[in-house]
Amino acid sequence: MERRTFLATLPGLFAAPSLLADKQSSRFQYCMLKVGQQWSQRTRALIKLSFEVQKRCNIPIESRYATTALKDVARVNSPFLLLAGRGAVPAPTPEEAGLLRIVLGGGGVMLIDDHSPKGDDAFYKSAVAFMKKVYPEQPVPAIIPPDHAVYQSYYLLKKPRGRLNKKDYLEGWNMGKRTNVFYSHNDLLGAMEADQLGNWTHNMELGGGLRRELCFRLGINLTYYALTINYKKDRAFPPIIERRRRL
Amino acid sequence: MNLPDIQLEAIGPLWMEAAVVLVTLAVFGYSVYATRHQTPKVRVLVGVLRFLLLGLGLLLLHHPTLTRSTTAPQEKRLAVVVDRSGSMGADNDEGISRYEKAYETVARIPEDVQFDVFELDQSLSEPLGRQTRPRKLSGNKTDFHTSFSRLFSEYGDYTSVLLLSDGHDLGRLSQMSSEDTGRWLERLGAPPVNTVLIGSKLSGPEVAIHSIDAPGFSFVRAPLRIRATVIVRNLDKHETQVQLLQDDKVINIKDLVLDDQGFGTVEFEIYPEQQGEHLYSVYVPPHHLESNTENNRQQVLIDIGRDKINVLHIAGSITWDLHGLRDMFERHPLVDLTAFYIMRTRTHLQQGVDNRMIPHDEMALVPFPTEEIFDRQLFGFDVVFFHDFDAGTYFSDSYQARRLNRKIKEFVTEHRGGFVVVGGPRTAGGPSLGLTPLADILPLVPPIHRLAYDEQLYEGQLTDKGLKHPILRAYDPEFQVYSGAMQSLTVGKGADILIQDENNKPLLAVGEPGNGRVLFLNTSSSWKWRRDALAGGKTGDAYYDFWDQAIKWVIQDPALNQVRITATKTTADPLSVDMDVLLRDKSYNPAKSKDTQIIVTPLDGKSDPATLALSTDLKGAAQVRYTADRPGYYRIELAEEPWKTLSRANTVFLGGSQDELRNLDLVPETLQRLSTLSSARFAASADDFRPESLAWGKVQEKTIVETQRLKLRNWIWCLPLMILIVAIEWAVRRSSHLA
Repeated sequence: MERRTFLATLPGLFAAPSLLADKQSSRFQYCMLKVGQQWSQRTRALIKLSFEVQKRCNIPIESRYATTALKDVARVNSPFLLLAGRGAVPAPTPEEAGLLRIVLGGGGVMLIDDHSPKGDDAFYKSAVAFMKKVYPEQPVPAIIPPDHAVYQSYYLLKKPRGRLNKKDYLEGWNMGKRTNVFYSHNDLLGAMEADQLGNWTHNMELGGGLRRELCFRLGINLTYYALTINYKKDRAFPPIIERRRRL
Repeated sequence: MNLPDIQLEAIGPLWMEAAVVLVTLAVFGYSVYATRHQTPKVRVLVGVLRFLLLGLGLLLLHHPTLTRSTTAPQEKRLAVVVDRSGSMGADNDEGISRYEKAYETVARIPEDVQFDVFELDQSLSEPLGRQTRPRKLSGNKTDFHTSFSRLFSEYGDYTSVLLLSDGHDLGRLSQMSSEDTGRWLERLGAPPVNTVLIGSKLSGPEVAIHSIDAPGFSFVRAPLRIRATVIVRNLDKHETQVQLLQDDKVINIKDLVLDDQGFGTVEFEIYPEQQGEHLYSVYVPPHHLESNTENNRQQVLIDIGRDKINVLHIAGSITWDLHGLRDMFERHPLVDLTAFYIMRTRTHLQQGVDNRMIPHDEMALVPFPTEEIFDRQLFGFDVVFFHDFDAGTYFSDSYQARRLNRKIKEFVTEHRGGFVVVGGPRTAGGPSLGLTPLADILPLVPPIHRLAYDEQLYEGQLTDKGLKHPILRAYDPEFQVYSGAMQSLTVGKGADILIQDENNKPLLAVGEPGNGRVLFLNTSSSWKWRRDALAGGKTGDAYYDFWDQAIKWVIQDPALNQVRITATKTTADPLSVDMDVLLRDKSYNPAKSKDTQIIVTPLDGKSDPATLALSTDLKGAAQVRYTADRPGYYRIELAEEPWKTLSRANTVFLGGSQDELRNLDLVPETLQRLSTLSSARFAASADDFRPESLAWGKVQEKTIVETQRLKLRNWIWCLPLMILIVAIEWAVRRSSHLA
């Protein structure tokens, strides 16, 4: 290639990633909400989770995650939203709450992941207040029962795991037969966070490799639940799943 | 002339009655006591007058009514009751109907016999006078119990009854014992009920459908059981088969096994594939010596409805588009969903996961049941969705792939199935559907090689065919953009493109191969229509409406047919049918101001089809009415093309009760019982009937002809009479210096 030709194509090469990002891809993609001060603390976990989904599942997925502010949430291409952090998060404005309600009502799913250490419930309280703005009719979250589809949408799981070991259940906000918002107390993303060389960023509070694997399984199950809703509650599956759980 | 009777009413309870009498007596006693200083003559006169006055007052308090009846000797009068139910429309030996034969018999009653004609079916008509000519059959069912109860209670002055019927009864009488029937006749004071059996006598070998047990309503693709009982008389060890026919086509045959009494039962199980009224016939071939072959066939009209839409949803990849469609299915009140999603491909299985094999019992996955779904259960579904599904990847070998894909083709072309393909990256990149038998039915056919899936945005444009198509009634070009599409598709034979881009790339196409319908959506991004609409401040319902209409169209919901004939019947006039006709051409454009014809064909073949002319309005609608001259099954269809091809013939039953027509055998036992229990005569045929031998009831010497009533309180002379008594009493007292 001649030097002039190379120089002429150079701007195009730099512009290519942004063009790809703007393209309205049909692929699945995680989207981190820019809410609170700590929203970007676990973003590399999403890259790792995307990689695992790509490797293990039949889900066409983008390896990059997306980010968005609440006011732009209706423009998100793939409405799997994450709200993560520690410490109090600000409540949404009525317009933002309305937009988020529309996105969740239109098929979106949100995971709220709490990084806070034991004894610090500022994030939990502010997250509940945040969701009260979105779903005023449901002021407090409900505990997700062990037979919920999210525990059997791909892997069979007994309890939700995370980097921490604060609660052995998920909470959530339900609309009809669907759970639109999940709340993880145990820093689920923290267990998946790895640096660019693949080293785990955070140690697990309890256990090691198997427990971290269970965190990935929960992440994958949440992804499958977002896309297939209550598929595993269809009449063909419960007897088989019950039998396997008894083994 | 009789003396009048007086009727009194109580003032109130007994204590009040006693109190009023005591007060009256006390007043009278005091009035007599008050005249103690007068002469006895005056005292008696005043006492009598006061007694009359008080007595009259006491009497008036009891609302006295005078009743006087005029009586006369009872006349001999006959009530002739003619059965006009549906079964009386059957032919007699002489080529006339039983109903006409009954009136021939009525005409033989001598002039000197006073009679009134009544007709009965499920109720009794008003008296028709001396009617000797047949009127019109009602076609309703027969109910002797209800009709005779009314006759005996409301028209009790007849001294004899003559019933002309074939003995068919679908009311309470046939379920009553002889004792109960006798008590019923006695309680109602029934006169002798003479009966005449109208119809042909049976003799010799006989093979007949005795009864059919079938529901009046069933559902599409649900098991429908029709049970037929056959009776064989005067034939030893008779072997035959029973056929079930629909529209003169044999759809099932069963061997008949007879018991010792000559009865045999067969049960047919079928799965109707179309909504609407279906006429099924059960037929048993007649014996070569059999004289009456009319009872070898019975028909039953069953209304086939739809309670659920059975959807098989198979997805080749897990995407937001899958989520959108599944969410729509879960919201749809009629959809009964069976879903199989490929959550892990063979590649994942072969490579393992993260270099480790996850134990089977730690996963919620079930192997894709290819044979179970495509081989055994396929025809139980209404519509099959291939959602970004690379079907060829999941069959064990090319033989199985070809066989099962051919079965889907058969499901569509021969079993009225619906088939929807949502094209996506997997459909494009997997084994081509263009190589399978499905290529013959797809409206958009992929090439025989793997394709690229172009993820660019396409703006759809409605074609002429798409403009009026019901699937696209809520089409919104602002939000229905196509994010990705398969390339190099060719349009299938007879298919219609509804939406294409500006370069004529087909985005949505439909086809009607064979009896079924197929839809091909060339993108797996339709879920964005709803999301973008919501983000744009709209409801997003256009997405649900598109898929709801698409499902209705592929399953051939009658509401979405281009040409519709809606037949409406009323109980008030069961022999008439009102037909609402809607004519639209194949592209759903209304056929404005068109003149065409409807043919109404009687399925018993006893008369020629009737042709009714109709003219549509600007919306393509027209109304027309038809009145049949006898009960039966009638086929309604449009006479001219293209409407005939675009519509489906309707079958309706005109007349009140189908049960009347199912078994036309005579039932002399019913008539015999009525005549025996009422001490009357039974004639086994119209020819055996002798009017002079009719049994008559005992004539009463006097019957009440007229009754007159007079309420004394309202009598005009009541008040003057009281004033007169008071005046005389006052005059007596005045003359005696009492006043």
